[in-house]
Amino acid sequence: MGVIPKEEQAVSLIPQRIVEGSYLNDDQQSGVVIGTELARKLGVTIGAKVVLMTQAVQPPDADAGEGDMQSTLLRVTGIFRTGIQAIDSHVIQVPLPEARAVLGVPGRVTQIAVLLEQESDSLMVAQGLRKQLAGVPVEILPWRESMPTLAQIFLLDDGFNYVMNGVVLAMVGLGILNTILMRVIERRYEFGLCSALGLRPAQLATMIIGESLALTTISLAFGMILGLSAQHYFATAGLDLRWFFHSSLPTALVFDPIIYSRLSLTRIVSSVGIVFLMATVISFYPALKAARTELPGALKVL
Amino acid sequence: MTDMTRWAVELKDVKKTYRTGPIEVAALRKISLRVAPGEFLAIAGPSGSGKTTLLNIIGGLDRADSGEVLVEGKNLQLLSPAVLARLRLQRLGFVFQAYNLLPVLTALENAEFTLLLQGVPAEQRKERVQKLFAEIGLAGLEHRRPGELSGGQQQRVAVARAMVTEPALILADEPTANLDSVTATALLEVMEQLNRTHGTTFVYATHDPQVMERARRLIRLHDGQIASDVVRASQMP
Repeated sequence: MGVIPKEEQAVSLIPQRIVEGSYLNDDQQSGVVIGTELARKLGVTIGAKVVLMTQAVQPPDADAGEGDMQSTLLRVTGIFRTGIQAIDSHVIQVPLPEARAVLGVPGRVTQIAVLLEQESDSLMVAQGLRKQLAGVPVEILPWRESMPTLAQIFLLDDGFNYVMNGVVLAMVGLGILNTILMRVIERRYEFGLCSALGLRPAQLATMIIGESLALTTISLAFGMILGLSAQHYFATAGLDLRWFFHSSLPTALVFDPIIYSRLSLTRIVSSVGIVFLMATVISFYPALKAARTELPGALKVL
Repeated sequence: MTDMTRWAVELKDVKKTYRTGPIEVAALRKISLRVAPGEFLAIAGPSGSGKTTLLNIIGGLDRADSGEVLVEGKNLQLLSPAVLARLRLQRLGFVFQAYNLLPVLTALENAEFTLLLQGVPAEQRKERVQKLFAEIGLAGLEHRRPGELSGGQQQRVAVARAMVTEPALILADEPTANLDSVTATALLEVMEQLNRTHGTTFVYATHDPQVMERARRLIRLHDGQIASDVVRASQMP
């Protein structure tokens, strides 16, 4: 893979995963970075010379047949480890001029990556570039089109997340309902006594809803402390999935197998809001049940 | 005093039947009764004669199947649960056989509970309860929980809770049933004194001969009907 070292650092994982030596720089034309697995197989270390042999690209005007075999001497400047075996054992990066020379394609590039701040802008930017570069022999693809499998994985992941969130919220709702309802049933005597002494049904119902919201607030506070602690851990240490991916990912999908969580204020606010709303709505039934405590039956001391 | 408000309690042909599946038990059979303000009345009778049912209906804790139940001229049969609750809070006091105190509250907190529901400020609540505690021999026990009090002391707390709002009518269901005779006598003296000094109407449901002896009017119930109604010292207006 021929790269522009300075630019590559912004779009690729490999420059961040150098474990020995250093990444390429624009002055080192004959440098190469290789994965740990490949380095192990070749028995090379930093500074070692390696020969890259490849088949040159057939010029369009040449006779049919394969291009000539080409080779070049490179020096290992860095060794990277992504944790994904397919990448660590099969991917190398060399400066773009060196790649062009060995492949016999001076002045050509096969791929330009554009990194956007907002992923959601990709379609709009792709459309804009298509208009601007109309007539130029390039294919402009947003990442979802260039990597449809990955895009579908993301889509599936989103769908799965919605289902999981729904299941979790349903469980939370049932938990709240069970807790409040049990408390109402257990406190039938207390409610009966309060009612006999003059507490109005609406006051009883309000008390139950108030208690439910107080319990929800306390639970949310504890939940936030636990959740933010877990978030802090995963935001700094990350969730290492290298053991899971191993060699199963194709080399084209170079993304960090260590996943770092990111805090979203919108997600926190919406989750807290949904739980509060749910707790309020769910507490209506126990509140109604408490308000309808039957006298004098509820006054019997058990 | 208008005719509507002349009686503390007025019952007209009150019937109440309990149904458990196909079994029907008539608890009250056309009971008619008038209780004047300031009376000290005992309703006696064997178990199942309808005493507690009658008290519950007068107190708005239960509803009659038919007939009229008027407390201070208000027909309880026509009142909503919320209005009934307000009437119980403002005009009635209850003393239950099993004391029915809230175990997590102290004696003072239990006694001031009805004042709290009425929205009386904390200082006034404390002052009124402490004054009443002193009158009924509970001074010094304010911060004990029900589990730390004897049966007699718990029943006095229940009486204080019923009395503290200065209700027009106190309904006491077997208030001496769980007390020894000495404690029962002391408690009755407290209630008689409150009846005399505050003019509060007391209606008891009881088996206790001592209560019957002290009552100035004794109604005997039998199978849900009034078997006898004897006035010993007229309180009738």
